[in-house]
Amino acid sequence: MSLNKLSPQEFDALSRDYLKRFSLSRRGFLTGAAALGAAAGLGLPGMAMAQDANGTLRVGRSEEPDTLDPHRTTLSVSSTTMDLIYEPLARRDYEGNVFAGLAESWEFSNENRTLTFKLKPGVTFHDGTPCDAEAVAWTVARHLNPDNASPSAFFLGPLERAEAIDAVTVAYHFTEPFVPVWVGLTLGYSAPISPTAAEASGDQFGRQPVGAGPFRLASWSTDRGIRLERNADYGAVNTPARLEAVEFFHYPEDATRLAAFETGEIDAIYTGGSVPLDAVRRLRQNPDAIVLERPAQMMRALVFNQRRAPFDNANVRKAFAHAIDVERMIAFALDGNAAVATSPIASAISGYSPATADLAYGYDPDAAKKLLAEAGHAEGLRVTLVTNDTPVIRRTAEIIQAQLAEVGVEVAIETLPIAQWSAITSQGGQDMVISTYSYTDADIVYPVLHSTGALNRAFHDNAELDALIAEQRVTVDAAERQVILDEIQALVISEAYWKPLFEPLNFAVVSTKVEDAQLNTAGELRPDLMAIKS
Amino acid sequence: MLRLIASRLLYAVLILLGVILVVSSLVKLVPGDPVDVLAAGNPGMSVANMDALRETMGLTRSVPEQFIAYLGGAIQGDLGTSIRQGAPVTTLIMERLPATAELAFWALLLALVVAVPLGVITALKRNSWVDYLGTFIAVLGVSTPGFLLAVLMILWFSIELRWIPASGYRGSAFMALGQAIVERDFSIFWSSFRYFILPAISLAFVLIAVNARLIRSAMLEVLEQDYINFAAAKGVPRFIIVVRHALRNALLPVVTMAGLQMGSLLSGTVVIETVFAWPGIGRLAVDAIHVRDYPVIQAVVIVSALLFITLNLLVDGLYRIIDPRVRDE
Repeated sequence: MSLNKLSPQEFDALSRDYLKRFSLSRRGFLTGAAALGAAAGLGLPGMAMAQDANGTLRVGRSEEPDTLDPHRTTLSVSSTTMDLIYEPLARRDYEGNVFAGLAESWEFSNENRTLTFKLKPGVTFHDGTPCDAEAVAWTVARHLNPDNASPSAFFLGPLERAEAIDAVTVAYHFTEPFVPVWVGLTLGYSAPISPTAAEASGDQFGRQPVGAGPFRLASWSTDRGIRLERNADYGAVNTPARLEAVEFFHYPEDATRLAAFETGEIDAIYTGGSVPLDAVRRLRQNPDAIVLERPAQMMRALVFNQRRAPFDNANVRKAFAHAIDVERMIAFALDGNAAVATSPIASAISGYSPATADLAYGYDPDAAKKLLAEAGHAEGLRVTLVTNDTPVIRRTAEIIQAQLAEVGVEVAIETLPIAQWSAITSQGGQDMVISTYSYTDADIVYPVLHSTGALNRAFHDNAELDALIAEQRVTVDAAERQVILDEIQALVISEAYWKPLFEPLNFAVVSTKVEDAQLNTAGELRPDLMAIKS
Repeated sequence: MLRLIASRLLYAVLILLGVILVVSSLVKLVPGDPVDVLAAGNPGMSVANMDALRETMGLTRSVPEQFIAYLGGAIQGDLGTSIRQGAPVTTLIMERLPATAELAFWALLLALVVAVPLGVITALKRNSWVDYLGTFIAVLGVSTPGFLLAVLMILWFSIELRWIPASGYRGSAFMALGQAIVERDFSIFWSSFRYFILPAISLAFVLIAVNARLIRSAMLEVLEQDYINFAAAKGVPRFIIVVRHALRNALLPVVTMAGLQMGSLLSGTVVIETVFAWPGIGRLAVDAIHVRDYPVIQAVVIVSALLFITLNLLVDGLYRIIDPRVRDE
């Protein structure tokens, strides 16, 4: 079925549905988060009460943004900072639903290859430049300009150009219908930037960003971190922030970041791995701290390289899958802070197949030994596991090593920095690899499992699987797509292409004086919806 | 003298060229480039996207080509543009260098202020309990990793006692000192200086140990010289003998050591800067290595080499001034 044949309404529904996330599915919020739940409702757009802004939220993060020029970065810490400074055409609420940002409405046309936005009138950038259709089209042109070599341009998908039709109407022309359109369009990467400011600051724009978001950049220095101040004119877009300012400091060292929180230098820690897992237990006992958690749309798996012996033999892969006790791994490597993964699609992503839980090769060392003997490895074998140097991954690798030793497999661990790891494993220079991804849609199967996928580390040769993966991309009917996705997941699990390990949780910690802190599906807090008790 | 300076400068240029060549080839011999880092975190990026990016970033050019292009820029003072931040590398380094330089200064100052008296006293009280205590501290200092001490101090002084902040950098203490004097308000200086205390101690600890031992042995050697006995026989007060006759000569090797120590402190105290969230060039280098930001890595190494070479030249010059024997050679 062709996407061009869909009615614009159906396509809109499909592309928005595509993004829907069932993040609160299984465990929901725990402890402190539950207490905040009721209050958090107040923070949702359109519902916030008019209040005088006050207070500064001081946040500690493990990384510093590289640049705040949306066309020069793909770093997530930059992205979440940019989401506060720039106003994308549409945003997502805590459940991942799309709602109006800069645009008040949109519609698909031209066989779903054109997406036309009606912008909210009277919006200006922080420097006073009108944030109109002209500015949106200018931004897109800058983003797509090959001379700028933007690493984030892929977020726009097959976008050809944007055309300003009148002051408040802008049309995005795609070369083909693009279902995951909202994955990128709701992020700061694709939000309009002030043309005046970008032209005036040139190379330095990433340090002096000007957008139309709820906060404007007040200062950014290596010594004092990043300070964002409330944009009082944000009313033309959505409810202005209740905080006077947000300050981001970065502490690469976990112990130092925690110390800064415990001594009251900062009020919140969030983003990526900023809350160290081994500190969660201690933080939960801290009466001044509220620990928020939410399942991440992320998973980690042991991926076998089928291009190499012995993993070209399905029995060996199944034996390995049987030899690993994931529950014990979660207890030891993550202090219990994760859920057992059963499928290549994380359970927080729509499209996850619960049936995979029954298909999995559960912990059974005897079965593992038997399968290995059948495959001719009764006297044991030796394989390499290539991992990157993230502490959690390293610990996971050590546990895999210990557990496989019990069935007579000797695992040599090679720990590499991320760039090297990425280069080597993409060439297949490993027997096994611990693969990680973070994504919002079941289409993740394409990059990680299709034989031409950019992150395919299993190196299998399976035309049937490739065909299924290609088919789910263009299947419009959600139920139909689910059937295909179920098939993909069942195949990968029963043939043991992957041994899914665990799905991490996202954590944030805030001091008790912070109000309305709630994690979104990406594991981020939204300072624009938060407040500080005065 | 002029010939000496000229030959030294030529030597420095050759060393720099060698450093650039070694670094730029080594960095590229290691698998993985900036695009690999981007792709590892972005499943939405396709193989075609990655190839296109490599092309536009100039990563597909051969190593010699890149080296020559880089050298051409470097001669004109252009060390390239950071791949990750898009800003000129020289700007990034100049932003970070003052924080490192000032921390290095305070650490070295502290190290010398403690090490010199400690070295002298342990030499004078040789084989007494004071000497043993000094030796104990020195061994402890040399064998305690700086980061361990750093974390212990954070736990004790910041979290337990809440005396001094655990980390961060709030501007230059020199500038604050100036402002404090003008406004007659000492708290201005303190508000910025207190951030220096823990990292400076962490860095100084090992230097104290090394320098104190060095001064101790130099003092012991000097104190056995005939001219010391002669001065004592002449009735020169003990204090004058120790400070003017002995210490002055014993400090000579310390000048060399301090020069080299300053060099290594300046070229980035990587671990300590990471622990204390210190925005210096050591951390700049670590961050750049993580994301394979080649121009930044190369520039930090070149600047470090430059600092070392300059300090070496300065030490040599200083030696000629304070030690007449070197001048004669």
